[in-house]
Amino acid sequence: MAKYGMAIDLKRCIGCHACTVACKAENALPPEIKWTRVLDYTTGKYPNVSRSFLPVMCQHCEDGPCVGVCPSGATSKRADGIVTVDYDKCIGCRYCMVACPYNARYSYKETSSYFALALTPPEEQGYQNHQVGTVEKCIFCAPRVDAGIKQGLTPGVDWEATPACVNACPTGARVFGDLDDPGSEVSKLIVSRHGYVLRPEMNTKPSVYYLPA
Amino acid sequence: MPLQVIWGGLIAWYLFLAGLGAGAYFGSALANYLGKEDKALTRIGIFFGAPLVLLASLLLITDLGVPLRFLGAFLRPGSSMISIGTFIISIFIIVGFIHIALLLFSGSKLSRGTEKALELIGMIFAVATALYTGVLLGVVKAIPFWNTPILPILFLVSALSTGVGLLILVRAIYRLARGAKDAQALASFRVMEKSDMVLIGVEALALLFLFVVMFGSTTGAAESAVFLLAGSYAVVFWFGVVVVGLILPLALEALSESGERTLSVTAISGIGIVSGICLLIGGLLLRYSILVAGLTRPLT
Repeated sequence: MAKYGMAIDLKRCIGCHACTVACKAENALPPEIKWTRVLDYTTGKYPNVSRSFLPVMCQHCEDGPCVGVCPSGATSKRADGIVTVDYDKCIGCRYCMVACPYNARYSYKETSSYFALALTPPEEQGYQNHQVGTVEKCIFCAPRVDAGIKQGLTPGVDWEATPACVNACPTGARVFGDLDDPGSEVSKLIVSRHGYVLRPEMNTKPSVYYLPA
Repeated sequence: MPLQVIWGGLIAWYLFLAGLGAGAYFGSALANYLGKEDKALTRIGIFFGAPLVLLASLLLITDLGVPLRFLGAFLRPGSSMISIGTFIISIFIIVGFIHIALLLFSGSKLSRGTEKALELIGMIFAVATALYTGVLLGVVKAIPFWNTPILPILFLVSALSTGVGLLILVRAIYRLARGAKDAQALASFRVMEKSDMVLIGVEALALLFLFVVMFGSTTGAAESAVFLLAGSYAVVFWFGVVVVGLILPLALEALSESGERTLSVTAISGIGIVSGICLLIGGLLLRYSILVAGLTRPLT
């Protein structure tokens, strides 16, 4: 069984937010919800200042606190490592949002449009996959990955089996693939570039690695 | 500093009312268990306890994203603190309402043994309910300001103190309504005020201990502590929690105790009403302050 994960190259990220937008389009996310976001921050003091970017989304942890705290079992981890939310089971208590050290979860409060008057046809279509009141987050584009695998494609290699953010990144900063396969590009990058995880002290064992800038 | 907004005002009310109901029940049940004669003292908490906790639960359900699915909260008692707490609170509500029903309908036929057994079970689940409101936050590792065993202790002591506050408040109103026919009031005020002064002392120590530990922490909790003491909610904390919730009721209770011979029972009742209301306000604002100050560490 594969274990899917991602490497994000902070040397390549230019803070263009293409991943955020591609994710919103792929998953039909309403205003105010970004399953993946790019933090933009400055460090140092004038004149030695540097601006950095940190793309953050669900880290698909091996031991994610969200899974344990969920009282209804809506949040669970698939055998392939992808953490998903079953919208039919979620009661909307938001304990997972409180428990996530990465603030990667969002409450889908209402079906709202980006435009003033009414839902656009794509919004109307896309929002049907969401449920008001439930909590949602990045699911590594699981439906897309699953559909691709069914066609015999390889996630991380073939466009149709790869998360939208990875496909959209113009600099190739995001690499997706099987962490259990030492020969996959993502595994090799994590080793060669000394990939690290966010908040290691939380012992959540994320499947998202960051390659230092 | 931004505020923690995932769990807001309704959750603060929930934590407060669940603790209040449990604390009031505990106070009355213990008084009866120890053989206190005053029927008002030994009954107020029983009649307010379970209904308040039920009200708290209804507020929690209202706060859910999908309220009609509230039964889903029971499904993972092996891992989710919410599921464990839902069971504890449900059992407390059931025991509490059985207790009310027995008091109302079996009257003097209720044997002392049955009553004591019921009180013991009720008190155990009252303590569990009050502790749970703190453990719910205390187990959240991602929020360093909450992630301490001091929090359940603080919430338990505050629950008992607000519970006694409610007993004092209702007992005082009852005394004013009954007038001179109410001979047991004075003795009951003594017991309630003395216990509450101890509780306030312990609560103040727990609060102090919480801040000392948080200031020493390197996990980001110190920022939450500074925010409460000096940030935009400092007024709520210092005035609401410390002055109104701790100092004022302590002073009023001390005044009432010291004026035992000089003050009229009516005056003591009046003081009781004010200190009771202060305790309730302080208890609610304590929950609210702790909630808003609970932030994860920034990732950058």
